[in-house]
Amino acid sequence: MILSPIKRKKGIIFALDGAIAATIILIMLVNTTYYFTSTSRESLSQTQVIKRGYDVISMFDESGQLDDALRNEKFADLNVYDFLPSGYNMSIDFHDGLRTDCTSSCSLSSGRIKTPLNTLSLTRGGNLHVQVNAKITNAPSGIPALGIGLNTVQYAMTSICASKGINDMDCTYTTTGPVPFPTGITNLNVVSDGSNNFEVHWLKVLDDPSYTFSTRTEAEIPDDQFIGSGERWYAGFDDDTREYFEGMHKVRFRIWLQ
Amino acid sequence: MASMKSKKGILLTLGLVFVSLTVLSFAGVILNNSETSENRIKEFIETERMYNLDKSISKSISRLNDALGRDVFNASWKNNTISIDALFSNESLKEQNEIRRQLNIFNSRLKESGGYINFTNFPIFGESDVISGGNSNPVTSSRFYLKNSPNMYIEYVAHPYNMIYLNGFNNTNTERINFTYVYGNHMFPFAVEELSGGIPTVNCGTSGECVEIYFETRGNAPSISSLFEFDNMGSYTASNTKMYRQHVSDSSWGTYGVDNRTIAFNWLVLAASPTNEKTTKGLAIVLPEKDQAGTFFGSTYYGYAEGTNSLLAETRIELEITLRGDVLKHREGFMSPPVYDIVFPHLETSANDLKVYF
Repeated sequence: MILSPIKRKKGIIFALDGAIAATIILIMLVNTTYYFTSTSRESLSQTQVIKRGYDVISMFDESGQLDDALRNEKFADLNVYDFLPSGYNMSIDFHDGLRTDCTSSCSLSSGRIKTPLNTLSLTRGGNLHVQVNAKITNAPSGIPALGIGLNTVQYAMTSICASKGINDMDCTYTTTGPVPFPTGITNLNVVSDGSNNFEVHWLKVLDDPSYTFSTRTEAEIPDDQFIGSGERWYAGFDDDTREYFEGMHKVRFRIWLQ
Repeated sequence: MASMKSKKGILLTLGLVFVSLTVLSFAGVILNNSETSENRIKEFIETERMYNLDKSISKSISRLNDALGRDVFNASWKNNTISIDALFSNESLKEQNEIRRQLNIFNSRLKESGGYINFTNFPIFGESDVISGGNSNPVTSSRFYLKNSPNMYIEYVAHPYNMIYLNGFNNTNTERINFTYVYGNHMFPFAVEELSGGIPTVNCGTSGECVEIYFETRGNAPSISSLFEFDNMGSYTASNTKMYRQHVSDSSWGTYGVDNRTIAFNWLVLAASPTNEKTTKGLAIVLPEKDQAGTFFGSTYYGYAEGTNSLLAETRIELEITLRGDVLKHREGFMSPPVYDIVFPHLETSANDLKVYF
């Protein structure tokens, strides 16, 4: 049977229509099935693991392991495997946990003496608060005050002190406002009030990644097996009695498939 | 013949369209289901994150308050009785200001790190509705609301004002107030005096809807106690009505027993309607006010000068407030307007599964 040219054209158009329709439907089916299966099967179970991560970090907070980490500037052996499903691993980042120890010119006596801290290596600049810990070694005169000097500008600090005797008062000072750090800065001055004797112990720039310590480095966490992360805030104290508030710390966890 | 073929073609086309539409609608349902499922998972994680941020910040602030505030103000609730234990000391203002400074630092750091948590106001360490210090010098106070009766709140104002204000507590909802003044070796208490001018007690014997107010002292001298009562104070519209005063005396203030100062109990009607509350009337307890020219909690007090209200030692005020009426129809508790808001978290999703980044 020989079809007329018009009928032949109709057949081709019909066949093309059918093919296009079938292709579109097939693509939609494949996509929807893919999304349907991937979200319902994998992610739901992964959310449970993230939830477990929150539980683990809360437990470390309540059990005092975060307190220990703050004092020791590192985590003791945290056995996360006891609390996670097998096949998963977890890293914990403790923000503002490290300190820059004052190693020279740390004694500030009368007069507005500056002590340089030359060992800063900030990861990023920006508006950040600075924290300083110092011991007051004389019988305090007035309210012992420290400040931060940067580029001829001085920034005020507030303090919380633990008094251990008339000539032994340990204070942690924090700038009341953020200090605008340029990138790459390595030098900062701590300025005394001119009427008290200070022995500067350490300094830290809050929220700068260089003061964060972790149980694992970034490189140890495989991107393609990463599942999720979460965070918690933690109130740090300068002693075991939790009487002398030091500052708020962010504690972050990351979970991945081993 | 041609028309038969044409009809078949139309039927075939319609059939194909129908089948295609059916498959397409199924695809739509599956797609929608998939999206809904992903949204539910996101919501689950977002809720979890907000819960953990909220709880950890709340706990951290509570620890900060415990460390710096030294149990300045405690309130608890049992059955129909509220118990308050408030410490007054010359240091309490410094402590509250330090707490506020630390919260400001925390707030500033959060803004720098993305601003997902905002401290919008400071109701716990906020500005007083009762005492105005002006824009440049606002008076710090802490306010605790009754959970299901938000018109009623208890406000604590630290040194130098040394005040507890019971807003909305009146004869319709309060049966009894037990007041205990706890002291040490200074600021010794004397008798409580009902002030002239008439505290309303007309209906106390008949309807019984009066507030009993019982005064007691505890310290290094024999206890002094007395009982008074008052009924509806609604007709007292003056901003400040003197009700009772407990004399306190100390040789450091002059002749012992003569140059008195007082713990003042005044009925206040706040001049400006507060922002969040409907009630503007209540009992204010202030110590130790200088009793001069009868200006209890008056212009002398508002015009506070350094040293006027200095305490010679730490002292405590304990209150037990027994409630009645509609307040007790629902289970009560305390609440406070939120200190901070947590904005909805930003989640990132990748193509193959939902990964959560903060």
